[in-house]
This record gives sequence, C-alpha cells and structure tokens, in this order.
Amino acid sequence: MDKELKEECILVFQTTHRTLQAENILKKEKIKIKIVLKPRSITTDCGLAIRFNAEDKDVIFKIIKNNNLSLMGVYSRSGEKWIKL
Amino acid sequence: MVKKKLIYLDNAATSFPKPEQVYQKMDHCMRNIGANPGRSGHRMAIKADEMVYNTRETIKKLFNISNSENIIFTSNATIALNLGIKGVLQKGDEVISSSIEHNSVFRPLMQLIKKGVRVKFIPCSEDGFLDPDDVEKAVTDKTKLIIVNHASNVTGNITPIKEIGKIAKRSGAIFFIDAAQTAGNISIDVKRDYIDMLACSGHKSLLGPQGTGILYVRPGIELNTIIEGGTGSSSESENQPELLPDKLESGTLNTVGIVGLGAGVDFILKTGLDKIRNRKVFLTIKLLKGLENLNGIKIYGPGDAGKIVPIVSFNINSIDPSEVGYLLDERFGIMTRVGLHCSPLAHKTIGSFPKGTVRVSLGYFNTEGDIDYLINSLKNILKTKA
Ligand SMILES: Cc1ncc(COP(=O)(O)O)c(C=O)c1O
Repeated sequence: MDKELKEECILVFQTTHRTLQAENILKKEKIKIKIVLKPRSITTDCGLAIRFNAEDKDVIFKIIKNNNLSLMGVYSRSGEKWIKL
Repeated sequence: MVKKKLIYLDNAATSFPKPEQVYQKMDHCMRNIGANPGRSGHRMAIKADEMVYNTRETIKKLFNISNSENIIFTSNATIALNLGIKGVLQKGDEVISSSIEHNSVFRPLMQLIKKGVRVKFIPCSEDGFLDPDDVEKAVTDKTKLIIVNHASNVTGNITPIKEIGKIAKRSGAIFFIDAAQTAGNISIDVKRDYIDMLACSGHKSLLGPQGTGILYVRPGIELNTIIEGGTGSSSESENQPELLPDKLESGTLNTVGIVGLGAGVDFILKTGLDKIRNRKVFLTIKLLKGLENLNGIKIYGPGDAGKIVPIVSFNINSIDPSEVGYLLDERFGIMTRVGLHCSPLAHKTIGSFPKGTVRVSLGYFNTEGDIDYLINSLKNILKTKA
C-alpha cells in the first residue's frame, strides 16, 4: 500500500444527499467512518465529506461500486494538504 | 347550553388531526435540531441533513421510487406542479390534460398557452371520469407531456393512471400525475403505473403539516429551473447545480415540516396503506348510504366507494351549498367545504358551476359516529328548510 493512505482519507460526493446515502450504506456495512466538513482546499462548498481509514479503502471502493454511488473524488491528507487519489 | 361537537370533514383541503408522532417529531426537531440543512456542517446542521435525508428515504418506500435523490421538497403541491409543468414545457410544445384539473394545473397551463404552448383538455364524463381511450385518441407523436389529476378533489373519482401511463410510454410523452388527493390514500407505484413525474401535497393524506409538498422526477428527465439560488453545493459555480435534489431545491428547506411529513408517511407505512384504504372505503360506504336516503339529494361522482377517494360532493334540494355549509358549521360544528374547491373546470364538467357543491372529505381518524351525526344534522337542516 502506498504511504499516503496510511494517513486519513476522505470521500467527496457532489451533493449532501449523495454523501448521506453513502454514509448510510457504509455504516450498514459496519465500516468506520465519520461525516466531516469538506476541506476548503478541495472545494469552496459548504458541503460534507466522509472520513475513513486508509486500510478500508478497497472494501469501500467495492461497496461504492456495488451500490452505483457516483463518487466525485477521494483525497488523502499529506500534512496540511489534501491530495487527490 | 349543550357543548357543540366539533367534527372535521375537510380532509381533502388538509388533513386534521395528524398522527400523534407528527406533533412529537416536529416539536422535538424544532427544540433540538433547529439548524439549516445542507449549509453549515456543524453537528446540528448535519443532524438536520440526516432528518431531511431520512424523510426522503421514507417517502421513497411509499411510491416505490428507486433513488430518493429524485424526490424534491416543495412547500405544497401547487409549487411542485409549477416546477414540473414549467420545467418541461417550452413554446410550441403540445400537452394533454383533462377537464377535471385543479386550478394548480389549469392555471399554469393557461399561462403557458399565452406563451405558445398548445394544450388539449380532454373532456371527462359527467361523473368526472377521464377515459384512457379518449387520451389515446388525442395523443400524437408530438405530445410532450400528459398531465392528469389522479383523483378529482370534487368528485373523488380515481383516474386509471396505469392505462394512461402506458399510452404515454408508447408515444414517448412524459407522464405527470397530480396526486394531491391520492398520495397516502391509494397505492401509487411509479414503476407499475409508468409515472415519470408526480406532484402531491404533504399536508393532505400523507398526514404531514402544511407547508410541505413533493415533486418526484424520474431519472433521465432534465427539468429547466424556474427558481435558482443557494443550494449549499457547488457554491463556487455561477450556475445552478445540475444534480437533484439541489437543482430544484434552492433556499432554506422547511426542515421542521419535512420531519413532520416523514412522521406522517412513517405512520402510513407502519399502519399499512391497505388498512388505511379499507377503513376509508368502509366510512365512505356509510357516508354514501346515509346521503342517498336524504330527500332531494344530488350526489355527484360515481357514487361507488371503491371508485373514489373519500370525497363526496352533493347538493340538497335547491338550497345554496354555502348555506348548507354555513348551517352545518354554525349549528352543528361540522366543518365541510363548499363552493368551487379551486376547480371551476371540474364543476363545469359535472354541471355544478357556478354554485358549486357541499364537499365532505373523510380522514383516517373520522368515525362512524361522525357520519351519523352529519346525516342527522342534514336531516335537521332539511326539516327546517322545508
Ligand atoms: C387535485 C389537487 N391538486 C392540487 C392541489 C393543490 O394542493 P396544495 O394546496 O398543496 O398546493 C389540491 C388541493 O387543494 C388538489 O385537490
């Protein structure tokens, strides 16, 4: 696994509705996640994002794919910056 | 003096009372979760977001909708109908509608006619029934939209939407129903009934509070917006977001109302729509029987409880309906609605224009005793007026 992902990561969706939809599905699958504010450096939105642990990345991607959720982007933190994966 | 009973028989205007959980959930929300959904991202705002999300998920089950992001919250059915009708139609488009439409469909269409939209209003029978065969005859490959009232708010007559939906599908027209009187009263399945768009009130048979309404738009239908503004999403962009529900939900939502609506729909799902429908049919049979036995009564509509939502319009002798309504309220504490019910078109169709009718509309919480009391009160009025 690449080093970046050891840090915390976030999933970003286009609407609050899609974010909460993903949150509900991931919670049902018992994935540890947390709703956070979208970092300002990613978008100027007042929207939300989902924080997750890097080691859950593959499972999460699978769930997102199986449920036809359209993801806008995945970012991981590197110091003060968020890097798009 | 004997204390007058108060009996509410105007559920087609708005339902009353609401299930207990509606009051409780709204009270709790207003006291504890007063933040603005979709905006701020602090814990209370996220909680508000979740409550709005949960209501969408609850409503989705009632209508068998695939994705709850296609459910738009509005402040009533009228706004939902306007967003839908004006979002679809442009100059030169051809529309099919009917002669039992409520003003919330009729007036937007009349407005669009001035802008070059062509509308065919299909005549309905004298008991207010829209025959799918007549829709079939009127449809052409140019028909852009078919919009019909799912059940008349004057006669209660239920329109066979599945048959009309099939016709729309075959011809490629968008099928839009005004479900103001049917949502929460009878089964609606957007897939089974070929529904592309649906508008309804949240405050009638869905048992939510006033200030709530719903628009459903099938995935794949792109509406033009008639209202743009803040959505909390894509704030950096100059343009209205393209995704639902944000595209059609600018401005602060009625969170408390939406929570109440969620509680109302949850009550329906837990009680069971079949049980609710059976109860209302049972009460409607009793109402029709009681009315039929009155001297000089004229009942409008099919007079068959199985063919209507629990709405019955009538006139007695030639007493002015507003006088009947006044006496029922004043002397007996019975609340009905008289006149044209925002549907002059429907009253022209059934032959009660311009005086209108007395309309009794039942709710799940009405009792057999309420109906006995109504019938006895009408007898009393007849006696004193004879
Ligand atoms: C058939 C029909 N359509 C539309 C409406 C408008 O509903 P609202 O008052 O929620 O805008 C009503 C209710 O009055 C109605 O009966």
